[in-house]
Amino acid sequence: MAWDWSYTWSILPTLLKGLVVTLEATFLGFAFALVVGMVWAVIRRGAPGPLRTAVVWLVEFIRSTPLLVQLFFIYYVLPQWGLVLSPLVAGVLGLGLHYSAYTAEVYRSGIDAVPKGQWDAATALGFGRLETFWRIVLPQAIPPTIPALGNRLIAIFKDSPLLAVITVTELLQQAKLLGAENFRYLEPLTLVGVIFLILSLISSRFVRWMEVWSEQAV
Amino acid sequence: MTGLLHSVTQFVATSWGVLEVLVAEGLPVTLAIMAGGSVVAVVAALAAGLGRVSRIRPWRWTSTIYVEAFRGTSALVQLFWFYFALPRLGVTLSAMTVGIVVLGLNTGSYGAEVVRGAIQAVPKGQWEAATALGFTRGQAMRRIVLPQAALRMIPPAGNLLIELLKNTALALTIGLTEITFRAQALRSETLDTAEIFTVALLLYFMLAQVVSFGMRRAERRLAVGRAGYPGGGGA
Amino acid sequence: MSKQSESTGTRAAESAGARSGNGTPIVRMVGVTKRFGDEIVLDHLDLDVARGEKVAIIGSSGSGKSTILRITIALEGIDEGRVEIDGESLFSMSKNGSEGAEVPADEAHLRTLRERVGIVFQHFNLFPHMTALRNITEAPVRVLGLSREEAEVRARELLERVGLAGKEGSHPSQLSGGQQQRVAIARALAMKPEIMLFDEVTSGLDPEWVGEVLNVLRDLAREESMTMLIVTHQMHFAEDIADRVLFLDGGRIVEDGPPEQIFSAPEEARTREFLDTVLEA
Repeated sequence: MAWDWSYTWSILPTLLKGLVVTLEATFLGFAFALVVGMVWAVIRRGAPGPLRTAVVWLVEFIRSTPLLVQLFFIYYVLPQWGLVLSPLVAGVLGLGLHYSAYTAEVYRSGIDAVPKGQWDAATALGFGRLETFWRIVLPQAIPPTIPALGNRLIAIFKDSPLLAVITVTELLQQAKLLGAENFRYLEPLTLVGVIFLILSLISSRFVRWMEVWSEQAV
Repeated sequence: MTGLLHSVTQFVATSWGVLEVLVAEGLPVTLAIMAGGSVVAVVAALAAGLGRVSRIRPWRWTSTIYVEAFRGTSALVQLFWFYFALPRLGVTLSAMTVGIVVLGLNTGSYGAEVVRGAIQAVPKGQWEAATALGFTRGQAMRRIVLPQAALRMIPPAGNLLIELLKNTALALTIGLTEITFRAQALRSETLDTAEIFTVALLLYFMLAQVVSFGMRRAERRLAVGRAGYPGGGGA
Repeated sequence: MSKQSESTGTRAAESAGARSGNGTPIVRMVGVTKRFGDEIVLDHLDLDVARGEKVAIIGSSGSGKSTILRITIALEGIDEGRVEIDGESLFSMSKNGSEGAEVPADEAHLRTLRERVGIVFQHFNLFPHMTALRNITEAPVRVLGLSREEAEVRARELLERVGLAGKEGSHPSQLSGGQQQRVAIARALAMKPEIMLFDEVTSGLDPEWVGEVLNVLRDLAREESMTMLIVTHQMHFAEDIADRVLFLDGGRIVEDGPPEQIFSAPEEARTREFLDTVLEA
């Protein structure tokens, strides 16, 4: 068998260090995506025509172009304009911006799902547009979208290896470095695959459980 | 004022040069990966999607394992594994083969769920009518259910094709000289990083629009006579 | 004073035998029980239908009426009992030739027996991606092996028969509910079944289309020698065309007799109750 078990155990600690960075990038990126996505959703809902159209096109643009190229843009072009970012920050920004386009869609469908009668009732009671949105509509719109947002988190997790290409030492990058050092790629890369698979399977089950639970709560 | 005009003209001129290079040298490779990858994806999606609803257990299990394995890990990790780790197990594949097969299988694993969902969305009454008329399960699937499911598959399939397009950029990491690879290469030759990556992004964006347009046309073709589409009734 | 379903079944068998003069009922159910989960939908049901009989089945929702039809064409299985189509067991078959032991039927056996039965559904279940003509020709071509030309000739005749000449090229979405149901009837007839099942075929229609579909059924009942089992809420229609009416309640045949009896002088209290509520409407 071509597999070297002692090698496998010896590289595990280094890989786990990389996993920590992966998780950091994932959750920070997700947080960013949640916030920026809300900005897009609000603009789509309420802003005047030209701004709204611009945002619609921008979101479409971000969603249909490769995350990798967006990462390159942030990492290589921004410094030329005076903004130098560490690889990790650039990575988090890239992930967050790319996935904000997806969270914006999730928010949009959640908001659209709130019956129009809610808006009418709030207006009749004297709430302003912003207050209505913030206090009446949003609290109803968000909970059903949580499973969908959970799936986005898992997607960000699976895209985090792209940060390796801009030299962030997350899980995949660690595996590459180990592989290059020892001229053995099989064990590190397989371990990376297995770790990703296990974590994403667990999180998917969790998200599916959340879906069922949130449907029952309704 | 002339300074601004000059900068803009410079930007456009440089960008045009970048576009020429990316289109001439990078685009063919990107398209090759997309073409091959799409074929692999469609075959895999159909095989695994049908497998997931099949009553033949080995087929169902293999399909489930394939779908979970490829959906649960990222395309980049898969590319690396097949290109760098697989040789250790005795199988060495060219970068283009790895790119096409791996990205195709990756897209196909998501496609399998689209196929499965579309088949299960066809009303049970269709199966019953087919069974009552004497069709075998295979005939019912091929002639009655799949044609109806196919229509439902097109919008999600369009999205998956765009995902495949985006994933072709990852192939630069295994040495395939597609658009992003060329962009990176240009970056080391010139310093026009803003133009380079802006043009690259715009190029991908246009390709994505072409894919969307193509899928919408395919949908219209397939929907002849169906309710809710031009030519059909409102029922 | 409730009659057991067994004696009703025997009475039905006797009267059916007397009517057709032929021993073998074309559909026979003996002790058929069907459960959905904990619910008993058919309760030790016995039924004999003679060749050529036009049987109307009435009863309230959930009484098991549709289930009887679905079992006849093997879209549902049974939990207990035996079903025979023209003397041949539906849900079991002999393993090696006619002398072997009985085993549960496989798909091929069910398909063979289904060839003799046709069904029209409440919700038509037409194939939306095919024209009316194609809906009707597809099964004769793929299942019976007819050439497309032969199948189309047959289909055009049937379309004319149900009053839809000229609609060959229309898709279901371009047809009204009544037209769709008539295409569905033609589709089932194209397979030349000996037994036709009609599962509440007008219940899913707007009132304006009910008449045209009932007229087609009336013509079929008068002109055709095939056996017809019709589950319906249309009491006047049932009285008009049926040779025999079954009243089903709680998974059992409560009363079984000619329309004159059932509708004018029902013997069972439950039958009377049911008819009172229904005919009031």
